[in-house]
Amino acid sequence: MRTKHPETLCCRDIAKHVCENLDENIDSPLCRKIKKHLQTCPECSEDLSVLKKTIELYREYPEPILPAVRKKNILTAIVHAPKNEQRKAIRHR
Amino acid sequence: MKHEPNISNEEVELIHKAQQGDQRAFTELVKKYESTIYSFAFKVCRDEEKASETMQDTFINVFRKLKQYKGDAQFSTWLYQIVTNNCLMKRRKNKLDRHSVSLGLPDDSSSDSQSEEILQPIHTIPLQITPQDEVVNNELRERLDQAILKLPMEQRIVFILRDVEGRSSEETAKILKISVAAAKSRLRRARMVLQEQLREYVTP
Repeated sequence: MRTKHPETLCCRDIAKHVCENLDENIDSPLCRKIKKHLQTCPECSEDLSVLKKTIELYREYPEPILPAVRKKNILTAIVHAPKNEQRKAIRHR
Repeated sequence: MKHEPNISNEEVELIHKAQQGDQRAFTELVKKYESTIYSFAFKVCRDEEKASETMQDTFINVFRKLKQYKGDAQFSTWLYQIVTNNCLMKRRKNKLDRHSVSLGLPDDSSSDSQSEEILQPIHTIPLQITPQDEVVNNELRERLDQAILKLPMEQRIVFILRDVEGRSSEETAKILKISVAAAKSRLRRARMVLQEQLREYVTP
């Protein structure tokens, strides 16, 4: 069961602050309180490890490779796009 | 054009030439950033076709607006502002398209837009892996795709910029033209949703 730590932070505060400060300054007074809470609360500790693993999985997701045909198409589309706009403008006069 | 400290002299020159109408310089800029823009668009929409369209729209906008770039932000930040805007526009356009199609459908088919997006086919990326790994990897990628597609686009973009691409809260806020507090709040909500979506999968 989730515990409340009246003198420090409750689990809901921990979830909020951990999310906001995951990569930030870990020596601030708030982060020291968070670390203290995490040492004594297995649920919050598990939440943090799930969050870290989740982010890690998205970072490890293979980089998509841009197909060669798409590369060729971009330049063609860019070169022709302004001309199309010009034609549209002339048509609407 | 102001000289932004993180841009190399070569890039400043390339941008300047492209702004003057040098097509070769513009082509060089496209070649330099096409994979970055495609990769980001794919991470946001998890679909090869949509990512390609978004990338193409982005470079058309860059071509039209390049003279407006004054060099007071990193060029990549300026590009990201355009690509994120295109992602958001595409999402709005898809919503409108779905709305117009759903007008003639019976009530039971009008589920919410986020659920509908999950039902759309997810294009996976070809990987060079062993057959044994393939099933696990495909299942995992599908799970990751489905979970992230449940996020509203605004939260999804913040999560990708901050947690996947490792950009700072300040740069993320600048790209999306929102406050740092709003960027942090969107990130917190995105992380909490993804954490819950994938808890079962990542808990040993």
